[in-house]
Amino acid sequence: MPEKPLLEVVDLKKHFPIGNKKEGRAVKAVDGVSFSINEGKTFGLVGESGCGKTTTGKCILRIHTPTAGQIIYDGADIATMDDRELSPIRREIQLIFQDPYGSLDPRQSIGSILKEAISADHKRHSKIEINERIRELLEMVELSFEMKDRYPHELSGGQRQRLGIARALACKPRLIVCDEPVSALDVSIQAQIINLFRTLQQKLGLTYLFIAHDLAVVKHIADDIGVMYLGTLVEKMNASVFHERPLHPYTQALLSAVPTTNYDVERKRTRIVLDGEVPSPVHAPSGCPFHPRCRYATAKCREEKPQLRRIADNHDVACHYVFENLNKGGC
Amino acid sequence: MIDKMKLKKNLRVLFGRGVLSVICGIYVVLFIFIAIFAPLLSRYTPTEFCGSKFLSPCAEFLFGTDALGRDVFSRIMYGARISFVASLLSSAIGLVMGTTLGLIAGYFKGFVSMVIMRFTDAILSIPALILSMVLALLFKEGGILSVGFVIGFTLMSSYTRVVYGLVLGMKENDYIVAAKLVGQSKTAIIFKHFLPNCFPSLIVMFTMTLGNAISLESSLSFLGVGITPPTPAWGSMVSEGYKYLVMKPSLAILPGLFVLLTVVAFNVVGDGVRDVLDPRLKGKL
Amino acid sequence: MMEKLIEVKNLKTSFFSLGGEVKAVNDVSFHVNKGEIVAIVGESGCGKSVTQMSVMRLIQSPPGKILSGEVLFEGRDLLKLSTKEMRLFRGSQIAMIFQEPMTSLNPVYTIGNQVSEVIRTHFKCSRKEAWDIGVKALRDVDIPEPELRMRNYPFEMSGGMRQRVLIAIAVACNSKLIIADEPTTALDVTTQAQVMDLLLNIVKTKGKSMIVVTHNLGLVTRYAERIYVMYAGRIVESGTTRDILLNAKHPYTKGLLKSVPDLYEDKDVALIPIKGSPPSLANLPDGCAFAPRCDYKCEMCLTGKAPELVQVGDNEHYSACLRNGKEEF
Repeated sequence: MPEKPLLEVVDLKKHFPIGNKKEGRAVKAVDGVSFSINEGKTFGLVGESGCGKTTTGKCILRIHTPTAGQIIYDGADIATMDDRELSPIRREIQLIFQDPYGSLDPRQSIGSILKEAISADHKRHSKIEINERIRELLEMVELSFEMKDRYPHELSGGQRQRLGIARALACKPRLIVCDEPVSALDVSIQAQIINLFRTLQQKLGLTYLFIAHDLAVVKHIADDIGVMYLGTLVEKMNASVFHERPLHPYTQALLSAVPTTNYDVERKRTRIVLDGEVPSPVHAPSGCPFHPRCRYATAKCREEKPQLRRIADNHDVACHYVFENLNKGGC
Repeated sequence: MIDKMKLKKNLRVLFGRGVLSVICGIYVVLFIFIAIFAPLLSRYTPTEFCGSKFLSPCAEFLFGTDALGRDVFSRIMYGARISFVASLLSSAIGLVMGTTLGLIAGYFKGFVSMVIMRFTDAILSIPALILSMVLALLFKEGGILSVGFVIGFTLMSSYTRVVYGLVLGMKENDYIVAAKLVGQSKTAIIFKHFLPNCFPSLIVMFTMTLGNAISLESSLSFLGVGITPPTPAWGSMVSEGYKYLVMKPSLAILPGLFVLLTVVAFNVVGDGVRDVLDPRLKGKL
Repeated sequence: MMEKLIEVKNLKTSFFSLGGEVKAVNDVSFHVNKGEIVAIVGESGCGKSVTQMSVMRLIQSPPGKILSGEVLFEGRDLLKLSTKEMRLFRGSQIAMIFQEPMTSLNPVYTIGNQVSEVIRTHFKCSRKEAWDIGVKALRDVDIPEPELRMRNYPFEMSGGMRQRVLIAIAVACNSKLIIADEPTTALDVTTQAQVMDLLLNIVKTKGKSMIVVTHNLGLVTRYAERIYVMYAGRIVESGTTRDILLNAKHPYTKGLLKSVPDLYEDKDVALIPIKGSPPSLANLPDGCAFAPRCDYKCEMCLTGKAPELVQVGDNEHYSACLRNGKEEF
């Protein structure tokens, strides 16, 4: 390990109890997820809705308290900390929301949204300092200082997301969890925001956990990518090999389903269309969570849950038959 | 330019119900004007015996005189004042107490919230008039302050309900999560986010409870547990006049009519205010 | 020569509000040949959905109004049909599939009720027969256990399944044209692939035609034969899928292609976003609506009328840009 990771998630579990307590039934939203992010890097978490990627993010932000596992941030386990212990760290981990409008109080002006974020650190700030900081933050996200008296409903979707980013930056964070930050935006605006994320990372040395369902976007911004299915990580690899060497059958199917504007590739490639739908996490299948839809599934897959195994440099797969798949080739 | 257009649009929405809403709007303005300037507008004080008994309407006594020879017109104007003050006071008391309880119950889960909401449900299940009668009997004072408090307490629970619902809805909003993540304290979140976002609904409810409070106050006064005579409350005027219903019906009917008109007018205006402030609330409050 | 199934000529639809006229569809013409899949691509608010609603005559009036134009379906102008004729036309000839399948199904009736109801309005048949046709249609769209599913309520089904039900209705009514408005936007990637493949399959095997309305250029790469690109109420470029993707002429189409991250592109290829944001349809700029965001604009672009579509290549490749062909971008 050349660098010490800023964030290390070890066997994270989050179960939501349902029904009456005696039955002990639970939705296993996140069921044993491990990954780490080095300072200044981006980890992309992809998967379909209900796979637990957002819950993972919320555990790291400690909006949820994890059921089990460790979240080691900057050397300390924050998974079990109470509110008081957390408070010095709180501001260092920020969140960018999917819905930029819902994340802004409609009755607050832009200036007061940022002012709130700046002054919530319980330190003394003079008026001039705050104004200077607001100017600096707005410039960072390429909005003009004159906008500070406007209200969120007067902004466009892209501008709102920029404001959301500015609010997160106001806390001087080191780690930012981006939960589907561009999926609610117009196509022509998405690229602006993605580029902004990259510029900010270079400028401020930020670390991102980038959660999205759009594989192309994640591949573009992330250094490493984890693919989630029903609460577990099924594959973890370097983003540059993402589309070339997917080894888990689910990743293969997912990739082949992603639409692309690359005409030649799209007309040539064959598509793996999965049968059925993602089972509900309430009735998660035994063994490998993917086995009911997997074309390679055997009896072993039904009984035994595969663990993530390192099969190449920086490439982990949770599949019993990963070497067989390797021979068959990807999509 | 834009503000002018916005104002125009808001006025259109406010009076969107046509002639009725315009009339009610004018009536409410007039009512408040009279309530404030009653002493300047009336020729006599309400308790002054200024003419013979049971005079018919004439130039000097527009609505005639009552059984004790007091000017009915002056009494009705002063009655507007009593109604207005009592309703304003009680709605304000209800607003402040109800909102406080609602915010607490909405924000803090668990036992506190449960106690407050069960209490609220219990209060809401008792008809408002009966509740305020019982309370009024406990107080016995019959001054405007105690009546205001009694009615305010009765109105409180509906405010609690509404605020509680609003807070529960808002709690799920991302901006509340964001405020927590930047390290904002609980009290700051309540005062900076929850409360301001309740304002539109609260203003609407306030206008509507003004009407309710007037009818409650009049009912209490009519039943003799509200504002005690000789203070000229509309309710007590009806109850006095009603003894002479056959002989001189206007004594009971006139104040009664004003109660009716005022309550209706406040409700219609409240509807209009609601549509202006928050069109989404249509039909909910 | 291909036979045109539907041809829309110079369609104009506007919405009138306190703020003035919103020109949602501004002189739009397009056609779909028999057996063809055509895509209409554009960002939200570009008028692509309103165009389809106008074709179906589903525009709420007021505030909306179809101002002029023709919608020729097999030679008949739909805009001239009576309300009753149009009602029979919808569903039987043209079926529409929406983005959010939950809202197009009534939550209080079972799937079977709704499917057979639609069938019975278009065919004279008994309840029993309609039910059977419905079961067959559900089977056609690969819904497992169709008999059981007919008794389900919409909320008991997943988004993908509900979308299949809508497709089944289109199949059962034997519609010649399917208009799919963002059919998979609300669905997950793998479900999206299932539904699109199903639609393609049905169009090809049953000889139907389809219009896919979407904001996602990638989604139609695989399926569409031709693409129309819409911007601010107008069609700015049209051509075969190959021409649009590999040889785009209009700066907006080019910008769109460069700004969307692609899986099969190198990570280091920087995204080139389109500056600014789309104009409001209530307040369109003079000249070309894209000019304020365009890197190639000249003074001529900023004044006068919006540029007309001109042919820029073989295979019906048109683009609405003043500098088309005059200078390579």
